[in-house]
Amino acid sequence: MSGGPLDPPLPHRIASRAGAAGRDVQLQQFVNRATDIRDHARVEALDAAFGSRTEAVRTLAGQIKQHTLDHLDHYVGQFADAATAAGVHVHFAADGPAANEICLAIARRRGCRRCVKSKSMVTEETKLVPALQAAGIEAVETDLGEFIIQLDDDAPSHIVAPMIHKDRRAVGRAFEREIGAPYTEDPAELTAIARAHMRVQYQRADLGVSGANFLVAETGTVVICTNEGNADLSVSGPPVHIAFVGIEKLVPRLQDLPVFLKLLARSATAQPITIYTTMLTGPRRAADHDGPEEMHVILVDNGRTRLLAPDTRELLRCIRCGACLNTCPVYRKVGGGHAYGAVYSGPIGATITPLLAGLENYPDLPHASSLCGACFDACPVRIDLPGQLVRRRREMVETRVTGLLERSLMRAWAWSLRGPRRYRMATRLQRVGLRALGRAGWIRRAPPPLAGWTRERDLPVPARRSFHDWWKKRERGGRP
Amino acid sequence: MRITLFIPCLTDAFTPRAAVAIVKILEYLGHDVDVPATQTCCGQPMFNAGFHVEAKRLVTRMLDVFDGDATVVTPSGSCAALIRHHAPTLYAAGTPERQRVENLGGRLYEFVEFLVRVERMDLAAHDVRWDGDVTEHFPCHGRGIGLGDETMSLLRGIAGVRLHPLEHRDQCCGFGGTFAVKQPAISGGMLREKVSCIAATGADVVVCNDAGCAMNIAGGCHRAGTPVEVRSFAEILAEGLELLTREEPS
Amino acid sequence: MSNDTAPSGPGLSRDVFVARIRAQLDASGPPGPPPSDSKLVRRVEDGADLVAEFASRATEAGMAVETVSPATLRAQLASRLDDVKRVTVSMSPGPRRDAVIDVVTTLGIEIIDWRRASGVLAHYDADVGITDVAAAVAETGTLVLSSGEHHSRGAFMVPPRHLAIVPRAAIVADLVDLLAAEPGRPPHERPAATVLVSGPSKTADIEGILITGVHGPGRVEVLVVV
Repeated sequence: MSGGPLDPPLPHRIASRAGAAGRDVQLQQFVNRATDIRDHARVEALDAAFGSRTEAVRTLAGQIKQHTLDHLDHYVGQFADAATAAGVHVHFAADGPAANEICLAIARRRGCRRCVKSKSMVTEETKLVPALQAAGIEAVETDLGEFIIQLDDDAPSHIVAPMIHKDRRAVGRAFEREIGAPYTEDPAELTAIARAHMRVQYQRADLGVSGANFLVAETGTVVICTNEGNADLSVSGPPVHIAFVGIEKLVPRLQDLPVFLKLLARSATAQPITIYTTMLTGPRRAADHDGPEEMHVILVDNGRTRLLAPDTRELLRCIRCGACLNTCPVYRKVGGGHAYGAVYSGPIGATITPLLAGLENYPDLPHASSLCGACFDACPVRIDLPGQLVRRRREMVETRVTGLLERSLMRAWAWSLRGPRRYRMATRLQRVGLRALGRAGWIRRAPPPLAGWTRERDLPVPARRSFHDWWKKRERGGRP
Repeated sequence: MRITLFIPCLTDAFTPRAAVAIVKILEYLGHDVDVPATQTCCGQPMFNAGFHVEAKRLVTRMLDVFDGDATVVTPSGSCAALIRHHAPTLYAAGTPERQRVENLGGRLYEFVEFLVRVERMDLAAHDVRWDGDVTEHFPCHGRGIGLGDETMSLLRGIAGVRLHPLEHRDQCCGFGGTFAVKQPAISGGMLREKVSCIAATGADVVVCNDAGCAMNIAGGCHRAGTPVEVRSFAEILAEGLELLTREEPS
Repeated sequence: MSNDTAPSGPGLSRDVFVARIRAQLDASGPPGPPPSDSKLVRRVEDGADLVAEFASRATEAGMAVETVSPATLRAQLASRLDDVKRVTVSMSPGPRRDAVIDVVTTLGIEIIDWRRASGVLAHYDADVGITDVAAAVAETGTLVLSSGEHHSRGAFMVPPRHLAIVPRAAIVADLVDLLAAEPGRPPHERPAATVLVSGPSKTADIEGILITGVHGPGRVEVLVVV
């Protein structure tokens, strides 16, 4: 499957979509408001919970994750041993197709026909649902937002709130068209329709697929956080449960979980903890009367070992809370995640997508940031996202993905700053040139490379006299 | 105290009055101000754009220009953040340059930061008055140097200032250096939101301490026909102390 | 299916997979203990009034909480099951379970025996799932439910109402206490499923508007026995 918003023609240019969203003012305002509410709620929730300790708590969470990543070989092995001891089949997938193929092989062996699936970003990476459908297995997304996205053949635009770009009317239309429900715009009625529809799916399903938020190495436990409860219903009914999990989800011990459970829910949705925190350590035991007969964990690499390089390792600390998306003015202005043209959007997506899919394929993403730093402030595991974006820019310069014209201009500018005489001369030239273009102190339309500036705002002309000229004259005249 | 001023390129060319205000305030406070004639640019534009070889050359120049142990004051929070947090990463740990850049970062302050953390200026002890309706935009790189509400608190300490809170005061105005030119649609969207929040305050003056953001906001207000003047806090304070003649908002 | 020998089909062997990871790391060998600071992370101290704390946090989370004495438990149960036709009961054997069964039977309510059914399906016919808890957490108003011989995964997820009975002794102060280091219990001796429930099922997927009861129960009622 290709051509969807998350699978655009390459190289992907964010500007085209940003422009479209800018014209689609309603969408932009909608996303703006939704993210703004979430962002404020996050700040209040963390402040209420931890007050002045918040920074220290975030630092600790980042350190635990960093420690785990620094010793990831050990913890992956420890997890595999413990999970196997608990009766889990652990699989190791190098990439998306391999992960899907492992899943399909299990489904074939068990004769599975109907899959209920809870939300998982990894399965978005691997494009699992189309792969299941191609193999003749019916696959239903059970998270309400993901379900509506699936009905509309759309793509999620937010890590936590996948249909943040859709309103209630779109939901009403999708339910009317796809599942024959009478049209309504009432969110409670819409939710009730989804509930009734989904209960039938849960009872018919013979395969449950989930992601995971954490893997506990010490005990081999898979931890899944949801608010709806769809993961529990998806994986406790069917005889087979398969969890797709990126290797960055590991934490060492159960006792390391509280800091993450406390931060994740507050950062994502301003809750003290998600409604359901489900800890699964193996399939049903001999004495149990329900639960899956088989449980599988597919550990997915899919580019993650590349990110494990020292310079980018911190990116794997990400716990997918979505706080950096909600707080990012760029994410808000482009109308949400689709503009990024990849599974992960916002600041985290802008920095990992070029690493996973190539700088040359996503040359706009590292530059789609004013480096304002709001994401760094919001990140519960303190990933230096602006610093990482600057590194991507440096890599673009080093690998000449940045074009010759831009490289020449920047180098000429840098040259002009390497001595006071050059600097004075350049400042003077700039003053004369820009003052000639200006009327009454303002330039309404400037030539390249400043054309982008005057497309959106006027450019003030330089002052008649620079500060350094003022100072020199004052020094000559002697201070009073 | 002997204070060396670092006046970066945008302030030098576009908002020199903000730098003049800083000179006058520092002298009013009894400091001995010096402006090394050899200074140019800290290399921030190159650093942020990924040109780190070029940025490193300019930072290394800075180390010579601002050699010694004098306190350095600059109007730009983003230049201060560059020297303090990012420039050290350009040099290997343990090298003499790394030590020098860390030393410079330790004695370089953004102006408001200097007033609050070093000077500990108490406005109540001075005869300062500035009448007008003011709002304040928080430049993002204040974050980088750990600033928060300092400018607002200082403004509240000036008799006559009617401070109108700005909604989303700490949301980026869309400047971001080359970002404003490379991604005009996104940057412009951010700027329009900033301008409409400023207009909604009803203030005549918006205080903004970073020259880049100030140019961006001024340009956005001018394009939108929003009659708001952009000033640095230093200008308001210098006018309030009658060190500069007040420019009436037009 | 062993995971440390050759891969079965499309997967990598564990050794190859781990070697790819190791190639990016400097350190090798077993790590020291991870950074840890339970004092920093803790929000509720052990000395707090845990019943009051639990009740107020659970209420904030949208659960209906009532404190009862052993003497009033039966009456409270009866009043809550007034209009109910079918229930499932997922509790450890003992006097409290006997009390529940007694009350339910007296009211003429059908008890669906989920042990005889296949998987969790039995619970889809129940109006209320009645459970005890493995523990509860005051900090977040959380009910902790574990699977086992006497405990179904469906009772607290499938019926539209969940009624939980929580003895005071089951309440711990903080998540830190719930997940504290415990003497090593091998993975296969842990419950296969332990679910922390902190409110009725919720979604805000449609325009950020909070709706309860999307997949799991829309009502969670808690009787704290003191």
